[in-house]
Amino acid sequence: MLIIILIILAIIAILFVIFKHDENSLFVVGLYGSSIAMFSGIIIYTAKIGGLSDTQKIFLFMSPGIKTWFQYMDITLDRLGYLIAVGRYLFPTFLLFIAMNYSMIPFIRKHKVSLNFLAVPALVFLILYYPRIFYVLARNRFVFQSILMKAAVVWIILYLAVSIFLLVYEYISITMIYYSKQFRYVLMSYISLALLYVLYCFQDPIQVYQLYSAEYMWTAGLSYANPALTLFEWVILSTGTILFVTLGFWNSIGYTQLNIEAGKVDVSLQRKFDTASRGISVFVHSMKNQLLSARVIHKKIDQILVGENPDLHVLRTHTDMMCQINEGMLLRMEELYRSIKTNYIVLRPVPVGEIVESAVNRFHQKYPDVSVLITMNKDVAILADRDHLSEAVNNLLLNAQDAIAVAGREADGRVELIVHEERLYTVLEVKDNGIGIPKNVRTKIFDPFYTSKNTNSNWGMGLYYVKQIVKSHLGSLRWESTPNVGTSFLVMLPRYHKSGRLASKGLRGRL
Amino acid sequence: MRRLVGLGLSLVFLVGMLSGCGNSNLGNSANSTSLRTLKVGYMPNMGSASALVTGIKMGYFKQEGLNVQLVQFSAGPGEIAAMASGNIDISQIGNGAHTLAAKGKADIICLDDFSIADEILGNKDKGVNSISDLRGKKIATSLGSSSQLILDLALASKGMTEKDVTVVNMDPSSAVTAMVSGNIAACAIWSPSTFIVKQKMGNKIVMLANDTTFKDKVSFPSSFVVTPAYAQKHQTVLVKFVQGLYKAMDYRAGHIKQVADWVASEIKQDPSLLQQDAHTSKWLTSKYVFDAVKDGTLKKMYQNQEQVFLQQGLIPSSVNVDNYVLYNIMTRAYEANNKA
Repeated sequence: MLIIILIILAIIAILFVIFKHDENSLFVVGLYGSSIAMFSGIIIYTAKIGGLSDTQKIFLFMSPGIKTWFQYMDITLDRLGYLIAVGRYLFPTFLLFIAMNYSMIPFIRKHKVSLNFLAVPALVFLILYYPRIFYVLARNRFVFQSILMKAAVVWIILYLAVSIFLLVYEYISITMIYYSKQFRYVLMSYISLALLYVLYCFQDPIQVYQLYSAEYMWTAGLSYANPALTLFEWVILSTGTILFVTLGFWNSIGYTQLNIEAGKVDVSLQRKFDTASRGISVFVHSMKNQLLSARVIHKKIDQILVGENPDLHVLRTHTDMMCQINEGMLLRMEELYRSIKTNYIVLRPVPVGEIVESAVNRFHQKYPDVSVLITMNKDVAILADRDHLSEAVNNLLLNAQDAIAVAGREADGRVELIVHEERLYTVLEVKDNGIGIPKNVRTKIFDPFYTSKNTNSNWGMGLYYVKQIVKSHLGSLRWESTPNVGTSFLVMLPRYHKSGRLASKGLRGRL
Repeated sequence: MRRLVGLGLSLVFLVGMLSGCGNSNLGNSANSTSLRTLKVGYMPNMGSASALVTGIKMGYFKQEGLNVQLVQFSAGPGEIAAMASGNIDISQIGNGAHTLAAKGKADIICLDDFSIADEILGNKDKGVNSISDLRGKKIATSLGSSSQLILDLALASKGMTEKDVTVVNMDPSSAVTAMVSGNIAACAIWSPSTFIVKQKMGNKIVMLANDTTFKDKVSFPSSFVVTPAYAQKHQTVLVKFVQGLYKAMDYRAGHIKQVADWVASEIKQDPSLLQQDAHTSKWLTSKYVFDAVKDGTLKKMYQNQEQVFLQQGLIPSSVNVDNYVLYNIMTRAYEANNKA
């Protein structure tokens, strides 16, 4: 069964290499590789040393033929021992680096490069355990061997404890369901693999180099050849490990596919968008929204003028609104002209409350009677282009109200704008209890010119525009939707520190 | 699904926690017929298995209320580690593993025999026809084993040391494959691996030295051992075990051909190969052991063994053998058998 786990790990490692090319995947491949090295070494050693019952043999090797093949494998004890040592010392190192990579603790993010020195102890151990060096330095020096073994165990415990702490802390700290769900399976796969590692990590590979030495023994009261668990416990643990590693992998693959698809969408969007310049499209979109509003008012004015005694007071109100829309269009023309001209947005520290206020004001230009439920515990500063970001949030609010209208819930419709801080992000969440996004259009909603609405009232540029704006703010746009229940769009912006730095990225984004 | 995963994770944690205290109490369990079960580690060769197999076949252990179950190992250190983790109760070890007894990891409860398992085998096709031919050749052995000791003695007999050859640290099974594939020119290993090399390579193999070659200089005792903690807790059981063992040793000394067949059947080996071994060794009796304890021969023998370990740097300093040889168990068992 251990062999099955190793085969699964090997397959997953290969798939990681194929699908993902980021830093974390490199660490994951390293972690799986070190597990494979350590456990395959132990399996071969166990086959050679003997002492297993028939049932254990079947469990470990699956068939007597495999056991015999391992037993008679032409490999020196030095190579076998070093194979185990490589796995033993790289596993905690990779696990720690994975945990640090996931961690959003500011200290770790800030000192990420300098924390690379944490790989040094593993390198030192691997040098000391290299058979030729080991024999020169440690052979028959029993006190030195004891110190070396104790130091290794202390180091392993420390790294494992810190790694698990960081992973669990990260999991607990995530309050967003989207991330929490993803991370849960990843956490489980690492913990189950770490448990399997713990069963053997206290054993020192010195016992393989020096078959007749006693110093390795009684560190953990047993040797590689003596399983710490009963057969039943082994079956449970192995089944659990296979389950969790596969689930963790499945989750990672899902995440990977999302990334790949997102990348593909970007490429295809780029192609589609090449036919019209970005500036013109955004300009047209904004203008159309304003003109649609003007048309509604115009119809209302017509209705008033048709009557015998036009209500001049109401007429005045409508003409004022027309005037405001006109002013708004002029303002946008200037803004958009500026954006086309510069092709850049300028990020400055802005209180998030200002963005909220501006976005809601813009929303009220179209829906003056619809109230937006605002939740904001703290008015933190973010780095943003005030006008562009407000417009992006406004687009989300407009979509929210449209979704409520489509669901026919205007009477008890609820458009919410929630601002909260999530790990290294300041999140602006626009939530509605509208129609939701059907599964069949989920991959298309960010396409330019795609719209589920009547094309007379919308040109389908809104979410594309929002995505571009959020991207240019070095943030990301996530969404969660349940058909007929509602939708949440999350604008996640890197948290801005008083020191004037973004939490993790640079300062200026290209539009 | 979430509940299933939660349940699974809980199980994994539970198992992880249990692993710290989950070693089986094999040595403390008795079977349904009120016999006390003892798991005994051995190596699949004539020297290691003969007394145990005889005791089981002849029912000597059952007469003492013991159900002896055999667990096969490739080398003594694995057996001692298995005892430490509670997977087995008693081990039959060869000479090399006695270093672990000297280091306080095992107590000797009975002398079994003098090892006949180790041999240095040369590949004629690689130009090895005598010990002198080993110069500059690649030789496989397990560092710290009695086979390595024989190799050192053999090399010394021709004015060489390990520096004059290339020693490769290998377990006996790997050495078999390496010999057959021609990766090494010679090997110092023990049976049954020696048998397999001979079977597979036939006339190409030459036996250069074995345990008896240097018997004037050094002897290679094989013994039954337990952990010091086990010895302290289970004195009575151990006396019973040695009583059964003594009867088996006495029977073995007079019926070696029959015993060799039993062992061949137990370890699934060619009986004719074991017959060869059977007749090259002097098989000890219970009286020999008892007398050796009484007149101090046994102590002297283990002292000599310990001195060899010291000279080879296998133990850091001299140890009083009385610390790890349990004479009283050997004498009590003999007296109990002869009183009856």
